[in-house]
Amino acid sequence: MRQQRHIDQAKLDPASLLEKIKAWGGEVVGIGNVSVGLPPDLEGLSTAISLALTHPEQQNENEIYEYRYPEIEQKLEDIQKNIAKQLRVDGWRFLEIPPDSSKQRDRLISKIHPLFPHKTAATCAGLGWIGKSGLLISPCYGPRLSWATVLTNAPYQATGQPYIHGQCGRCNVCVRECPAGAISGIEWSRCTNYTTMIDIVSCAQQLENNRITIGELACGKCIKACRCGRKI
Amino acid sequence: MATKEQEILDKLKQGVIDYDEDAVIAAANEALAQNVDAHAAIFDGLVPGMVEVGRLYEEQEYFVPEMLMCADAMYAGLNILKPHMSVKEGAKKGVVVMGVVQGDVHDIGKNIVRMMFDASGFEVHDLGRDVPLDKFVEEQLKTDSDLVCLSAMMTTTMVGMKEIIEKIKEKNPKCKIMIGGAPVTGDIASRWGADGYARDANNALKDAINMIASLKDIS
Repeated sequence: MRQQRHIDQAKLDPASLLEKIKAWGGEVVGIGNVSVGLPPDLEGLSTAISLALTHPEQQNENEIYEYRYPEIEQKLEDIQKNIAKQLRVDGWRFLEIPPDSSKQRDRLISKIHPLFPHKTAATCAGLGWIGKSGLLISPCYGPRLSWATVLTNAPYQATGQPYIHGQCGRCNVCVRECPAGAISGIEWSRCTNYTTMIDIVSCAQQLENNRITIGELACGKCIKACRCGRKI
Repeated sequence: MATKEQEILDKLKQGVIDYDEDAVIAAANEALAQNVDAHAAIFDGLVPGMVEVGRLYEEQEYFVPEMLMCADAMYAGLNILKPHMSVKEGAKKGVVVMGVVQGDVHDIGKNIVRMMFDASGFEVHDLGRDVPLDKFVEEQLKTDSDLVCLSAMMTTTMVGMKEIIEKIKEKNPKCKIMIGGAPVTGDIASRWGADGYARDANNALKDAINMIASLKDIS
């Protein structure tokens, strides 16, 4: 009986799936176990496939960091669709969590999406940590990535050690660069309350100021400033 | 032709069951291209698919995310097919006000019922969830709806229904009221003066059609 259970819980080797995802265009891909703290509506979908695409280089003198790339997000959604098709063929359940800007669609399932942040998938898959800025930081690309997640019940092996603490260390560039002074400088750990790290009211106020002065409800100074993944 | 049509209906049904929006959209467009009657495509394709989804949900093979994705796939097909229903078929069957009563935010069941009404050509005024009791009364008067549907998932919030039913009946005795949700029973429905009780989304639709039909007969 015990042995039977052991076989039931045997982990799947993700190598061939990862290879396929890379072939579909996935640049940063990882798999993590997200069973801890999973909301009841997502019960069973305890494996997260986290994937990201990198942003193109931007001119330094731009007033804002452009983080909205419809074409990148479309590409992410296409890759997600391929992953979902593969999981369906293999007989697993799945739920695609689309890139952030695509979530606002008038769909019933979009109510479920906020239950699961991409950050949880990425940190559990060992692809990055939450920086002092509250952004997901990849050691290779910093925060200059767009993310998507596919949840599934397929018991794939995790591809990396989860990050449970931030790795920003002494770096405080984003704290200094934030025009609103909204970043407190506290290093993240898994159960940290974001409100102690970021003053979201000042951050939102800054965005609103930019909307009036530059004409765009955007800022992205912390994304631009982050030295992680930059060749210095 | 008949088998071709059946093939398309099956694709619509299977697409909904597989929560495969792209497949449903393709099948809906194929239906139009092949002159399959839009009404048939909806009621012999999409709706049976959703009925099967309801069964899979009940048997716990599907869960909330699957249910919602299936509903989205069904809506994708509905949006394509609905404009092609003939005027008579597309004519609205009735006006419905619906919502989840105050204090309750569980709206998945209500959304599924809403979808069934949408599919069958009702004009739906969806008040959403956690709706103040008086809002139902107000909206019923404003829209002069044939039917008011109340949903609650908790015994504590269910009791609010009694008050709404009394108020609506007082203002407009002709309006039919249907209630549903996990704690609701047929017995409670009749004790509180509701005209109908729906165990699940499929029954809600059937009851609603019957109720509105009887209403039209009387007047």
